[in-house]
Amino acid sequence: MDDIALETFPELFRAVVAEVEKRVVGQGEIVRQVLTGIIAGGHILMEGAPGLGKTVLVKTFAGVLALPFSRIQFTPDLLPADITGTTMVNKTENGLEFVFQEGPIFSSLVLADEINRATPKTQSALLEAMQEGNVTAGRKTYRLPEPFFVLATQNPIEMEGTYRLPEAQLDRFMFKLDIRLPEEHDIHKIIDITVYSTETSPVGRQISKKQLLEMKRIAEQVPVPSTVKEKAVRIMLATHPDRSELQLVKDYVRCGASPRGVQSMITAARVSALAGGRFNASSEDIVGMALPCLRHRIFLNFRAASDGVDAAAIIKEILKKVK
Amino acid sequence: MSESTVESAIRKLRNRMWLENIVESLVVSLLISSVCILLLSVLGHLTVIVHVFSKEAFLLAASCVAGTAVGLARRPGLKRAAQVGDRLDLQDRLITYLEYRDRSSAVLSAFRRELGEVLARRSPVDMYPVNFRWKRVLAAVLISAVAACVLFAPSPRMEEARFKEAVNNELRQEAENVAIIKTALAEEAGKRDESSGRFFDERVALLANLERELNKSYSYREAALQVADTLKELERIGPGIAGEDMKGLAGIFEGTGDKFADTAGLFKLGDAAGAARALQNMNFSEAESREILENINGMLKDPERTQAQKQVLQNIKTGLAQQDFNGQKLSEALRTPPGGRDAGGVPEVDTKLESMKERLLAKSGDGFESQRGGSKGTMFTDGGSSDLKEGEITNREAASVAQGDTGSQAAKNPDAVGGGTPGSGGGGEAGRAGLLARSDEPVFAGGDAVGNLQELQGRWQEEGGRLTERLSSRVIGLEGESGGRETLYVEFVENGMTYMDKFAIPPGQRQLVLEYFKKMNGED
Repeated sequence: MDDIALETFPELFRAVVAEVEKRVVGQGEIVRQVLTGIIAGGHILMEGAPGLGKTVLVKTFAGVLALPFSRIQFTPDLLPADITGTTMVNKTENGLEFVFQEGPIFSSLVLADEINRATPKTQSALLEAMQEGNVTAGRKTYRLPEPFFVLATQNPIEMEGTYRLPEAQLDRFMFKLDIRLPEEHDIHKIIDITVYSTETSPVGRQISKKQLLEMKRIAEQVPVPSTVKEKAVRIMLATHPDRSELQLVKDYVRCGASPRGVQSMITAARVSALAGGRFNASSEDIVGMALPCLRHRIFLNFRAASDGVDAAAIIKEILKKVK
Repeated sequence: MSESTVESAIRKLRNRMWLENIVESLVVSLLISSVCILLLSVLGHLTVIVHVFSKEAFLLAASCVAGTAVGLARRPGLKRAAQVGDRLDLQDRLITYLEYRDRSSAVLSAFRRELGEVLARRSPVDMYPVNFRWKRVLAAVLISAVAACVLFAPSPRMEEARFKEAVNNELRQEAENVAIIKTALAEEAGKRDESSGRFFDERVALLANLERELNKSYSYREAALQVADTLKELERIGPGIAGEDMKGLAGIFEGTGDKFADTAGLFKLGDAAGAARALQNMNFSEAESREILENINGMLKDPERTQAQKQVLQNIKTGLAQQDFNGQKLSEALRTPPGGRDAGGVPEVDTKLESMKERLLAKSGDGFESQRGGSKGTMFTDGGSSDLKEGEITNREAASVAQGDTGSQAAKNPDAVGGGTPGSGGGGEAGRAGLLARSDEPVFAGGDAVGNLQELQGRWQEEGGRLTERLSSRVIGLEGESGGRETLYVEFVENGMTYMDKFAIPPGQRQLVLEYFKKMNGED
């Protein structure tokens, strides 16, 4: 392992974040979480109202990380083959031959914009790619490039003509990030950058693909003590109404987080620790990663909707109670 | 930082936590014991509890020991210490170190390096706050102070308990006397052969039991009964020969006819007590004595005889040489331990225990004294207590002293010693043997009669409240208190300070009374 990369992990992490923040203003925490998710090898679902910079954020990351980037605009008439690719007939000297034409998913950084506008059938086309890093077309399976990240966005307001992502699909995302309206001073900055400037802020590559993969491998080796694992498991179990002692969970949660939630928390906690200049995952890291890792894995009942209780509130309560 | 430095930090933290556990356990035990002490003090005023202070002191000491033991047992493990240290802003570094100390990788090396830097800046030992629970300590001290106040507050129950403690202290002194006798017997047993040693061992065991009972007794009466029981037991196991040795002696009755068949059978069974009873009222004719002597001579020639058998046979042979040899004496010969009864000081044991029993009975407030502090002589002659009904002696049988509820008849009888009209029958004259009765005037049975009185008392106690020995002779009735005092004084002059041991003196006044009598006795 490259000791220089090990020691410089926090600097590289901060450099990427700083570079992205040049263009994405007022979303520092989201930027850090996206980068954490990318290094941890997870896919990220970003939810936010239109105009909050979701697409810009992903495109900026593609530039800063210098990774092959493709964007898929999800629409109701989008077909699975439009994403994965299709087999075409080519006329050659030897006659006709079938050639697989790779779809936009064959990229390292895939922006699945407004993913909930596509039909469930099309959404499901991402399942295999996200989980296994493969695409199967016809009788052949094609390996996706390494690294491979899907950064999806969805608009929670416009429900007309959208298809809610199924639970299985949601579970494939490591993080779900809520993009909020920036603070007032940040909005001033955004206006300064976008309205009064004729040119967009230039962003440069901060780390290479090799460095990114190295960072990913380092993260995989960060030690996680049993107490931290136990805490992650306790948090996950506390989201289940039949296992939790919290009345809030019993009252409002229909289905708790899956074990993938624990895996996500621990993996993300490792990156979080390295980003913080430590070489061990701590309980604080788990707590810090719990909300983005679990909020899309907890399914609330009708009573929660009627009482205006959301998953984030329940997770925050769980984090307060679980020791 | 080296690995040992990290582990040293964790160990130091563990030791500090351990110390905290010990202190905490100690504080909790102090609190619990102080509450118990308070309860015990309160209970001591409601019911009689002896040695309350000692019990409380023991409770406190036991609690401290238990608390310390629990604290010592609650030694935290390294993992626990690491977890606690991690809470001091070390972010799970110590527990990670412990769990990954046997592994190696570049990340772990960097981790250890970083941990060393962190520990150099922030030592968990220095950061660990020792949590001393002042409030609990204060509560324990306050409760203990209240308990002490309650304990030393006067109350009838506490007084009674202290009186019992004084009694117990005296009984413990008696137990020490028993221990001295026991030790002497044990030493004697060591000098004897196996057969005679067994004789002493049984007595040593009895005396050991008596010593234990006396040590834990709080009543003169109970202690006296225990001594009486021991005496009875000593008498029961009295035969110096028993078991196989005894079976081998059945041959002495051979050729004496059917008269001794049953007794010989008891010998063959090794039943010493039964044989002693059977021999009690037997007499031997000349022919029978001769036959027995021949048998003994024959048996003494047998080299297989044990030393114990030979000794007993020799005893019987010596007895047969005397004119008045009878079953009673044969029985006594069997009781004589091999090697000689006197040699071991056995009669002294009986005498000492008898004397002890007398002392204890005299001090006991029961039986002949129905009222605390009264003299038994006075009470007896007063006849004013119902307790004395069974102790009354009538003239129904000239040769014996009657017992029962017919004392009033005796009182009316002018022939009775001390009976009749006041002063007429009890004027200090020697009465008729066996006639002792109630009188309206205080009459004291003094002079030579003291021995009879003691015997009467001893038998009465020994048989558990029933007067079985009714024989009385040469009882002198002295009229009035002055006569009683004179008699008592005579007894005092004869016995010296040991006389005082017969009387229950309130513990508070004991030293004063002893000093008084020492001066009277010229012992100062």
